[in-house]
Formats: sequence, structure tokens, C-alpha cells
Amino acid sequence: MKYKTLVRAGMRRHKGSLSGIFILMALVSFVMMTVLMVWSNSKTYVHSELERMRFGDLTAWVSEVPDMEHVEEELQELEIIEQIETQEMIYTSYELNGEESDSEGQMIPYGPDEGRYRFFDAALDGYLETAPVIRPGEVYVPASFVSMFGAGIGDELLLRIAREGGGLALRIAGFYEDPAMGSSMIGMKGFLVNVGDYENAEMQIGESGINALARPGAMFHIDTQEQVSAAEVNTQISQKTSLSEYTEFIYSRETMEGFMMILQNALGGILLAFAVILLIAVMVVIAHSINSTIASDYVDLGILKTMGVSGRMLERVQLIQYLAAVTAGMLAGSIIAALTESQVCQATLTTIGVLIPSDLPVMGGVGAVLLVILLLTVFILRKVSKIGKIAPLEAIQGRMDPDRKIKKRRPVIRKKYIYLNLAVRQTVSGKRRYAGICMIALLLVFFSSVVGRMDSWLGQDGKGMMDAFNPADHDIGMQAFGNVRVEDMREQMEEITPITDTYLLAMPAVHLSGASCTANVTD
Amino acid sequence: MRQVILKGNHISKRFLQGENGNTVLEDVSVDIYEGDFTIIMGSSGAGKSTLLYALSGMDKVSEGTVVYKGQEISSLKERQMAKLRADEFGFVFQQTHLVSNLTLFENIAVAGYMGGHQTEKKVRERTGLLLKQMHIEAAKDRYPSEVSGGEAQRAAIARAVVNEPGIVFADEPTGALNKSNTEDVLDLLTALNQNGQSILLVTHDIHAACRGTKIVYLEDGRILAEKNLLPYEKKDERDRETEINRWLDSLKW
Ligand SMILES: Nc1ncnc2c1ncn2[C@@H]1O[C@H](COP(=O)(O)OP(=O)(O)O)[C@@H](O)[C@H]1O
Ligand SMILES: [Mg+2]
Repeated sequence: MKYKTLVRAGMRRHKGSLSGIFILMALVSFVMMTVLMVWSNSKTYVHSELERMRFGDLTAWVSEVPDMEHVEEELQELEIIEQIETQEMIYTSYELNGEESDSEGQMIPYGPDEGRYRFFDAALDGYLETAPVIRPGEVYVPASFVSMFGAGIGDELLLRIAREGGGLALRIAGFYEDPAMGSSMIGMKGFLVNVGDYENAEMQIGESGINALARPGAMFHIDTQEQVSAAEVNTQISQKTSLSEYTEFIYSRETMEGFMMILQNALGGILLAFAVILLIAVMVVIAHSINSTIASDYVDLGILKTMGVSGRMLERVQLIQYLAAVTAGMLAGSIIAALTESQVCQATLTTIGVLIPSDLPVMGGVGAVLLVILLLTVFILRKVSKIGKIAPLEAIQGRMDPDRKIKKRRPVIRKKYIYLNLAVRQTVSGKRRYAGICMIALLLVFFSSVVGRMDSWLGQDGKGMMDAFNPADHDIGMQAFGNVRVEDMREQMEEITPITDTYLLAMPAVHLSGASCTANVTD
Repeated sequence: MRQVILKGNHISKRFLQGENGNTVLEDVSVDIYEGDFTIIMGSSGAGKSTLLYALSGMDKVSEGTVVYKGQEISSLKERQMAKLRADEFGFVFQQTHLVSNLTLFENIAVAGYMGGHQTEKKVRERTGLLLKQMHIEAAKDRYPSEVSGGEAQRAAIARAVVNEPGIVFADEPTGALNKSNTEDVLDLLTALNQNGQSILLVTHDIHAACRGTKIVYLEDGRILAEKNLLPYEKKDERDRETEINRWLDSLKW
């Protein structure tokens, strides 16, 4: 009860700053929850999906293998390899909605007993309960085709199987989820076709001979023994098998997960940076509000002390006041996040290619909220420690008052402009409180303008950002595998052509030490 | 035998000012008895307020000790001092020092909540009762800036006594009031005292001083003389003033 009256009075007095803090904290916790949800859920989801789809520890993309079974056998014979699984496919360029593909696509036959893929419903907000049967002439494309090509159901996907009329036109019948390369960040894309169509294409490639544009190939999903190091696997594969002769590229599952997480990481990072900025803003507002309390309520604080209110209690009253706003804000933000998460997941689907499970990570969320509250508690306690030191006598006698000591220069009131003058004076004498409100307003404007900017930076559905990362916009791209020094790579490259751009790619653990690097030549 | 409730032993107070300190109180010893309406009188600048603040623990003494109900208070820590103020002391100042963002009711009630010995319900009841006694019931939900000086000062008195404190300290409580408000406030304090409340009041005004049961006369930081009076009655106010005047004259005032 002692606290209730004082806290209530304090809240009445600091309505402005407190509601500002509430709004900012709601934003902070909303952003925090969303980032947490996107990060942790998509990471575990992509991981578990790749596992479910029997993507091995390594996946090698090969092409034009003369004797597929021979390579498989060679691999099987290696002791470090536990299991391999082959998924056939055809590399082919394609055109969609008048746009030529940057990278080759992968045409994957999808038979009735193929259970690995999950398909989205037409509204792209959930999955089809039963996997569809892909009829001849139909194709299912990754959901990110919506953002990359503006694809829709019924659009025509033109596959360039061979020169001179060797095109195969397929009608998009729906979208599927590709947790391996479905992100719009990744240029290479797979599409699922009818087995008959696939066989026809294979035949056509054979018949076209030198005019063939598409190439047959396969994915080898390789499971290795657990204790064996990735480097060891690479050495053995390149020394003891002919796999590397046919390899287009080879990625570990972690690498693929890394690729699939690039967008989430980038967006999450940006949003988290926002949250941090907002949190700093909250701290500034709190600090400012507390300082202005000490200055403008100096006498009141002194009187309260004569009434037997201890410094500790005055500090706690302030703490409770601000923590109430902080906690309420975080609660509101979390609730908003919980209510909107599924929309967030649906909205990001066509960019990141997978539908992130939208349940809030409760433990992580609670932990994060508690952490922020703890941080702010410590901060507020440090800020209010001055209040405890106010000497009651000095406060009520008006001595030592930091504000009153300085002679204030106030605008002179003239009769003629009395209203204007009074308004000016009001503003000047209340400037601390007005400053707080201005600051909150400024921060909100800043935040919303940055959000607007981000949208244009990302372009329509994140396309701008995708382009920024897409090495296929250049004629030659080079990417390091294994222990390669960047300087060596640069030197090698600069013998051929000047480097126009370099990227850092999120590629933890790239496993291949045989060939030290690969270059993607696209034109 | 009347009990000494508050005792000042050889109090000195110096303010650090310029090169040499400014001595405001010099070796002041004074006993305040329970149930007394003690007046500290003296001309402006005599050190009355300084003495009051020293005796109430609001300010540290340079030398000497202050003992309240057998406990030395000059050496108490902030927390202990706060508790003592909450439970045992009530303050009324010349400027009505009410907390500006609390209503009159809240100003009184918060002081009540601070003293640990009453339940919330009792505090609210007592607050209501005091508001009625002080004739400010109608203004109870207003803020200090929305009431008159007299109303505010009456609220301040209510706040000072809400906890049934051991002693009420009042520093020129009528100094800023008009005649009729002054009379009201003095009547209230007198009534409180006649119900047993110990009061220590500082004034330079004889009219206020005649309410006391004991007068301590202070000049240049020293106690010149003390005088006991019979309990106040309205009808012999004139006589009391004359008596005090004569006493002051004898001190060559
Ligand atoms: N905080 C202080 N610092 C320096 N001098 C002070 C301070 N407070 C009071 N004094 C001086 O002490 C003397 C007595 O003051 P005070 O006790 O307020 O007198 P009274 O209340 O009797 O009018 C005055 O000369 C005053 O200038
Ligand atoms: Mg004085």
C-alpha cells in the first residue's frame, strides 16, 4: 500500500515517458520474439527436414556420369561411407514469365512412391494433406519462384532441353518446399516433374547429341561414419573414387543449412540490431525521465523523506514504475508476436522457401524477456541511486537543488503577446518533459523510416537482397572450398579477369580438400 | 513526574562559510517534555530553525548529541532515521510542503502508511477523520496547487499527526498565513496538544507563542531563558501575551 499510492502518483506524472517506454518495449519484444522464432524454428526445421529427406552428411551433384552404378559401387566400398542414396535429375536452363534463369535448374522425377517432398496449398499458407499426383505436362516449383519470377499456378515453365525447338513447356501446378535449396538466396533450383516427362527429356537429350542443352545428372546423398572428419572423407573420395571427375558441386548438410539460413540470419541480424537500438532508446528515455524527476520533483522527494520515506523506498518506487511499463510493453509485444507469427511465417515463405513452424519458442522467449528486464533493472537502479542521496532539509529549503542553483533565464512576458509568451514559457519550463516526448517521437519516426528503407533495399519480396548475393550476376564467380587462402584465390582469378565484387558467404564447414576451389562459369 | 521526550545536549552547529565557519548554535542544551507545547522563540536569524532541524535529526549537529526517548539520534543511519521520522515525528513547515503530485488525501494517507503501526483501513479512516477535523474534507481529492494556503497548511498538520507521532515539529507554521487562517491553525495545534500531543513550535511571533506551555528564548544561538506557562485558554489570551511581553522585556528584548 505504501508503494501503491506513490507508484500510482508517479505514473500519473510520467504518463508521457511511461507510455513511450511501453510502446518502445512492445516493439522491442515483438521484434525479439519474431527474430527468435524465425531463427530457432527455421534452423531446427531445415535441419530436421534435410534429415527426413535423407540428405546425407554430404551431397554431391554430379553430371554426365557414364556409369552411375560404378561410381556408386566405388563409394560403397569406402569404409568411411555408411550409405549412399542416388536421386536422378537433369540439369537444364529454363525460362519463366519471360525471364531467363540465372543458374541451371534441376528437373527431378517425382513418382507416386516418392515421399520426401511437402507441397503447399494454393494460398501458400499451409501444406496439402496428401501429396499430389504429378500428371504429364505439370511441374511443381519451389515456393521462392513466387518472389523470384512472380510465378503463379498455371504459368508456363519452359525447359531448354536442346537447341532448335528442343524446349519442354510445363504448366506450374503448385509449389513445393525445398529445404535444401529452396531459398531465393540460392540460384540453383529443383522442380518436380512427371516421371514420363522426365524420361522423354532424357531421350531427347540422347537424340539431340551435340545440340543438347540439358545434361543428365544425379544427387548422391552420402552418409559417412560419425567419427570420421570431413577432411578425411574428402581426401578418400577424391583419391579412391572417380566421383570428383563428375562432380558439379558437393556440399555438406551444414553448408546447405547455412545457405538456407542466409536470409533468416541477415534479416534476423538487421531486426536484432533494431531491437538493440530501440532498447538503447528506451534506456535513454528512462535515464532522461529519471533525471528530470530528480530535477523537477526534487522538493517532493525531500518532503517524502521528511515523511519517513527512505531513500531506498523512493528508488524502488521509481523502479516499479518503469519496470511496470517495461514489463507491460514486453508482454504486449509478445502477445502481438504470438498472434502474428503465423502471418510472419506465411509472408516470408516465398522468399526463404520454407514455411517456418510458427510456434513461439516459449523457453527462449521467456529467457530473453527476463534477460532484458534484468538488464533494465540494473540500469534503472543505477540511475535512481541519486535519489537516495537527496538530503531532505536541503531539498525543502531549496538548497543544493541542481536545477534551482542555476539561475534560469526565462523569456520575459509582454502583455501584447501574452498568450504566445505564456505558451513559450510553458514549453521552456517544461522542456525536460517535452524533450522526452520529442525524443520518443523522433525514434519512432526513425524506426518506421528505416523499416520503409529496408523494404526498398530488399526490393519486391526481397529480390534486391537476393541479387546482391547472387554470384550469377557476374560472368565468373569463385568460391573457396577447404583450406584455401583468399589471397591465392584472388591471384589466380586476377590472372584471368579483374575482380568486380567479393562476397562473404555464410558457409560454415565446407568440406572438400581435393580441388581447392571451383568456379561457376555461367555464360 | 513528566518525562523528557527529547533532549539536546551541548549542541553546537557551524556552517562552513567563507574562511571561518559561521557558528549558528553554541552549546545549546534543552529538554522537551512529553505532553508539552514547547515554543522556541527568538528574533529572526537567532538560529531557531537550525535548532529545530538539529533536534529533529533533519540536520547533523557539529557537536553535542540529541536523544529521543532514550535513543541517541544524531548517529542514526539513513534507514533508521527514515523509520524514526515515519513512526515518531511529524513536520509542519512555514511553506506548506505537501507533495505536489499527491492529493491532500494521499499526502496524509501516505504518511500514515509509512508508520508501520496502523493497518491500511485504519489509516484511511483516520485520514478521513482528520480531514473532517481540519475542515478540508471537501478538498481531499484536490492537489496542493488547487487549494488555498490555509487549506494546505491544515492538510500538512493532518499529515504530521496522522501517525500519532511522539512529537510534532513546526517551523513558523503560521508565518505565511493570513489572520483567520493563522487562528485556525493555532487552534488546531492547541487542541492537539490538549489531547496529549507533544509539540515543538518555532516562532518569532508572541501571538503564536502564547499558545505554548513552555517557552525557550533563543538569541544569537544561545538559550537565554526558559519559562513555563499554564495551559492555554482562549479567554486569557490577552493576559498571556502581556505576561510573555513582560518576561521578554525583563530579558531586555
Ligand atoms: N545552510 C546554511 N548555511 C549557512 N548558514 C546558514 C544555513 N542555515 C542557516 N544559516 C544561518 O544561520 C543563522 C540562523 O538561521 P535560522 O536558524 O534559519 O534562523 P531563524 O530561524 O531563527 O530565523 C542565519 O544567520 C543563517 O544565515
Ligand atoms: Mg527560521
